[in-house]
Amino acid sequence: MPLRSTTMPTNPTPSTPEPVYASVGPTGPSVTRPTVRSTEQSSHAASQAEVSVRINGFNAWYGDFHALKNINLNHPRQKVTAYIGSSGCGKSTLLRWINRMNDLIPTARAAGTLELHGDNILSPACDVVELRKRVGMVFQKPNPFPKSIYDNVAYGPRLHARLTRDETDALVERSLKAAALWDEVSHRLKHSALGLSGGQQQRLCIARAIACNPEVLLMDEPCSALDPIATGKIEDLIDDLRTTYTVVIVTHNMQQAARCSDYCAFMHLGEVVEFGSTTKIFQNPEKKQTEDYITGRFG
Amino acid sequence: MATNMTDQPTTSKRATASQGDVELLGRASEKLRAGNRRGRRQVIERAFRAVAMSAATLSVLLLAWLLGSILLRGIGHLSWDFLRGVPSRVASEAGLMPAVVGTIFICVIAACFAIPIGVGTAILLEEYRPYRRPWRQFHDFVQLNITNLAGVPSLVYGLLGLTAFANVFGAFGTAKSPGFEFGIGHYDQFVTAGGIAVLTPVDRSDATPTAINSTTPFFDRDTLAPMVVKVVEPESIQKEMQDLDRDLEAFSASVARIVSEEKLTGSALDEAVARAWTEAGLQADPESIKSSLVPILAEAAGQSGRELRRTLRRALRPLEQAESAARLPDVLLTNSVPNRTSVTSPWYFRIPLGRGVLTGGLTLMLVILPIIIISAQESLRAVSGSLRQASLAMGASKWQTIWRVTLPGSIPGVMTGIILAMSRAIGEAAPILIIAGIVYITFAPSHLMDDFTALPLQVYNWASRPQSEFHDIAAAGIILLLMLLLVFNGVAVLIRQLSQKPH
Amino acid sequence: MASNPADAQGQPPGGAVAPRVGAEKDDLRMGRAKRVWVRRLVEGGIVTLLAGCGVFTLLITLGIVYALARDTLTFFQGVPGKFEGVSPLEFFGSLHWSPLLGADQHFGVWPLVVGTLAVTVVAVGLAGPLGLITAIWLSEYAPSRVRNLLKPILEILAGVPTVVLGFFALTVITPTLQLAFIQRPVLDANGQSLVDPAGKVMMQAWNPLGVEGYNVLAAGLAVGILTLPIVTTLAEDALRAVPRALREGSYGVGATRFETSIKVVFPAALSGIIAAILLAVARCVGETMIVALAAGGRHVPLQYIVDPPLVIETVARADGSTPLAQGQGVSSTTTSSEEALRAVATVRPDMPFEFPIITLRGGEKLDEVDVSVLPTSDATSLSAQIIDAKDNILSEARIDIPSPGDADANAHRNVSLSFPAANLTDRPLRPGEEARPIGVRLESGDYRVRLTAVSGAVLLAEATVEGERFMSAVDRALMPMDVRQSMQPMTGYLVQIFLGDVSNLGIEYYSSYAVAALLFVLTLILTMVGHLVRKRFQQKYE
Repeated sequence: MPLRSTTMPTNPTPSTPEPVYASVGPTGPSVTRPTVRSTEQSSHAASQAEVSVRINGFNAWYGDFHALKNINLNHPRQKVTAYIGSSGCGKSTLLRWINRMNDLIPTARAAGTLELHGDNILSPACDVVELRKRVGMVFQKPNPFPKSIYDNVAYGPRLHARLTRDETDALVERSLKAAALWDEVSHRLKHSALGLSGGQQQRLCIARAIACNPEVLLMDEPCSALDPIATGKIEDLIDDLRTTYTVVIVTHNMQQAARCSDYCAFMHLGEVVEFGSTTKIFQNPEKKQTEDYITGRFG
Repeated sequence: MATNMTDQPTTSKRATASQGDVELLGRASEKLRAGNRRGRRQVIERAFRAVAMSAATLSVLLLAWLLGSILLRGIGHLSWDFLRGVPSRVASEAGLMPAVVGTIFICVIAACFAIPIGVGTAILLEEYRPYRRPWRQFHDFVQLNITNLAGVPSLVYGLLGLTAFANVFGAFGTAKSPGFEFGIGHYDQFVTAGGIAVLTPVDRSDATPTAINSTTPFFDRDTLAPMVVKVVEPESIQKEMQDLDRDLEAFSASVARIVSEEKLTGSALDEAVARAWTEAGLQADPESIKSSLVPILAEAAGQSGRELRRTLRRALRPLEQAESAARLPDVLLTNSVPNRTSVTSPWYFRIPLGRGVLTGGLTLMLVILPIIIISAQESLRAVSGSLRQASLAMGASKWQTIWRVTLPGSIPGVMTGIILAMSRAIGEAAPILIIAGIVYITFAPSHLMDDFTALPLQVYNWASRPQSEFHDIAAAGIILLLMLLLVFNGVAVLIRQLSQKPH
Repeated sequence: MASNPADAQGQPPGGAVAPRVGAEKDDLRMGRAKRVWVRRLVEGGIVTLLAGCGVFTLLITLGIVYALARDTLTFFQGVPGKFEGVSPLEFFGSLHWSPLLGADQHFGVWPLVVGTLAVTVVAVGLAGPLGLITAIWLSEYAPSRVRNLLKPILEILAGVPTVVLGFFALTVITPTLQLAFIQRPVLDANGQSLVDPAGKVMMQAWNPLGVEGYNVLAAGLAVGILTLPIVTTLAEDALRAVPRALREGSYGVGATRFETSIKVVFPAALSGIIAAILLAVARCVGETMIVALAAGGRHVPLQYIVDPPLVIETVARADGSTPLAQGQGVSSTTTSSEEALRAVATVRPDMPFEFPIITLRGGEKLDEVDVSVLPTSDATSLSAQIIDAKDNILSEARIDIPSPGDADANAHRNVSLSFPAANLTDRPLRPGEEARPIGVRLESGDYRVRLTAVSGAVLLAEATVEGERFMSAVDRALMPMDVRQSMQPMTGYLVQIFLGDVSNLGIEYYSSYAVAALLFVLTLILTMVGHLVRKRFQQKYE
């Protein structure tokens, strides 16, 4: 099936409101619920003023394998949305469709609605290069280029615009500060990026991703290759990034989702089982499947 | 690089330093948002895609041009006669047989030596890795050495082969007087008055020609069977020689008269000449002299006087041979001057090896040895370690493991490597050029020390000549060469496919 | 062994009687002891054998070093009584290479090095960019089906023997560069078109670029075709080794495929790519057959470059009954005399002009040689000699050339020298006797020469040479590098020497070893630097 969207780009419509809490009984022995960071927001994802990424009726395949089935998700603007679920449930696949990274895989195809701030991502007219300027990505393993720190961060902006030296300097500085790396590397910007520690490299990758002023920041299990201290720093960083960008994060680690995110989408075998605010998902999930996953019964 | 241990993640909420920075950022952000390079980037991307694809097709086109032009040029000249014939100065009659046989010889010799040594070295390098330091350095050195040998130009191997095999560093004499040889007989060759060549054995070290007398043993040149030869003093046959000269003169005069006065031509001329022959008392069979006489008579037909005499004088020489063969077949004069010759048997062997086919094969071995070692190493490496460990765990010794488990498992890869090395060997001309040189070879090598030529060398020989007919048959030779290569590579691919199926 | 509770009699449970543990041990040990040392001996022997193979490879290198060094040393030191040595200063310092020039010998190696450099530059200029771009396309752009199609084609290209490429360069590339499908008449010094003895106008290729018959450009392009697959496959391996994550990082910030390939993947694979280029350069430097055929590394005794080449042909053989030497065959045929005229050769005014006419084989005898000369300039006299292979003069003659006067028809100015039979050879060669080459040497001049050698009733050879401009293969001053002309690289010189008669071990023979030693050292350096670069700078990708 061709990569054609079946709906016209329209203004974002609010999705149907989630039902009220159902009471949840006690669970099995030695179950701990992850602590949820409280947010000021109400639990209704739908009542947001704007949706950054709207996914509606979205299906994706790898060849004949139906990887994503009828996804409906609205990612609220300037909030952190987390995809959680067991291995192979399609979280990374879905994430990678948002910036069309799956184009690199010849057998991948999709159908449905996938919109970024109202622009249809799946249409053939969509310029993938522009899309990826507006959507940044951070990968599981830090993958800095074998260049200097400065050149790593400046790589993206230099591609997209003809900037003067001063402008590039300012951009690099701002990106590194936003990634909480500036103080550590400001004196050695011309050194090779491969000389940084794992956590620093990942922050560099974050800086690189936000250097182009994206609207949405995608993070594919950004801390899974890092030690706890570095993980903690990145999580604090996400907290700050939230004020500027819409963040979508895939994580294997439920506690991390509980700590970092505002909204959670629990996925299983290619479908979104439940989507709601983090508080609700972790304290009051509607589906039993969600409850089982949260409490560790499976996955 | 040191990590900052005391770092705290700073927030992006820290105020920017100055107004200028804010302006810069604003401009930069605006430029970024506008993305003012997009059109150009698209053009570049599309252009590069086209350039890259044409670069890739260019390689294919070059190959097609190469093969096509040669095919066009040479296919017409490829025939069974061409394959069976021998080189000649005339392009249309030249053939490839000695070259093909020579190539087969040197490739077989090269393979016989290179395969055991190559596979052995590969086993040494892959399986017997030492732990202790000095042995480890030896090991690394051998490995490094092989990598370097793989990059040495094949011409240098030719020089090495010349020095080490052909001349054996000059330590055992020269090819003309070797330090050691067997399977050869040295003779002085005499030619009887009748033109028959006979041999008498001599000592190699004795350079003076044999003084012959009635007791000297003689042997037939071709069969080496004993022959009876009448050794006489020159004076004793003077009379016969004078008779012969007189008769020939008479004949010559008769012919001169027949041609210039009677002006006969055609069969009448032939008959008259045959009559004049027997009338002059000449004993050789007139039929046998006819073939030498006919073209001369044709030329003499229009001539007279001094020119005619000159023509006839030229004609008399082969006649003299034929006549003395008829009158004095096995008479050998005591003052005959022999020339030194030798007769070799098929198992002739000598040291130094000289520029023969064995040397060529050994030199070729040097060229392909690094290739075989490297590819054998790779295939040994590809055998999974668990197989080895399983064998060792069952109590097999290291060599037993190699011989029964590792080596059989790596045979497809090793064979592929060998075949590819052989296909490289078939096409190597430079070292063979140094060893064999450009010689006019019309025979297959009859023993290991014999002169030889090889297919690529013969092609070079023809290609380097100015006449374009030779270029045509060079192209035909190339087609044969390429077909051989195709067969070899096809076999290698087949082995690769077959070996991968069961897995 | 698990310990099971035994019953009262001390027998193990289950009733089975196990042999005494101690006896078991003895048997095992004894049985093994006998075989152990045999096995150890065999194993040790095998290891020694394998180590011998390894040592053999070391001996190869030692052999090369010794073989080259020994005669190079002779070259530098000289042989008392035979020739003086050449100082390394001259070898590396002088810019003049003319080893075969008798009295005027110079041994500065730079012209040969420049020749090699010229071929290498052209070859890498073709194979480098083309190979790298193809490698990028293969690893970044091409779908796997196309890739699986192209890789075998590259393998085939890599397996083509070098003689084939040399032939291709000589017979296809050069005429294409000369635009030979467009012909124009050959003109003499006065602008008149030349006519061969049969009356036909002589034609040659249009050649607007001025590419000579033997030129570096064609040879360099052929060497480039040879090294193209090397560069492509090695560079592609290096590019593929770059981990996918790096590419994803680049695509993630919105780079096009071109930008990703050039700005991220290519620099990341740089060490492997540099190693590939260095290996290709090493291959170019050592290439022999292509340059020998196409660039002008010619073999003696043709001691000059002709453009197009000189033709020496057997024209007719009388009757086939000529006695033959053992094992050699001569066939008879007739070729028209027009074919003999194909040369527009170049003879320099101050170089003697020599070439062989025929090589006598068994049963042949030279009867007479006619030299007919057509001077095209103001030469006033001509001397010619018939020489044999050892430079002994068999016969010579001298003649005065009448001045042109008012006659402009070429035929009037023919002068002939005739060398009667009596002075040449006296009897037919006997079976087994060595063949003898006979040559004609003419004093230098600017003329057109026709030579005829006759044996019996047979016209053995006929050739015509025309004089214009001359460049000797043996006298190579360092000229500005012009790829349209022929140059002799190091390997070409080696071919030239070894194709000739090396039994006269003069200094030329030893000079070839010095050149070979230099060649060996150069390729060794290139190969080692290539491997060092690859090992040292290889990025350790997890």
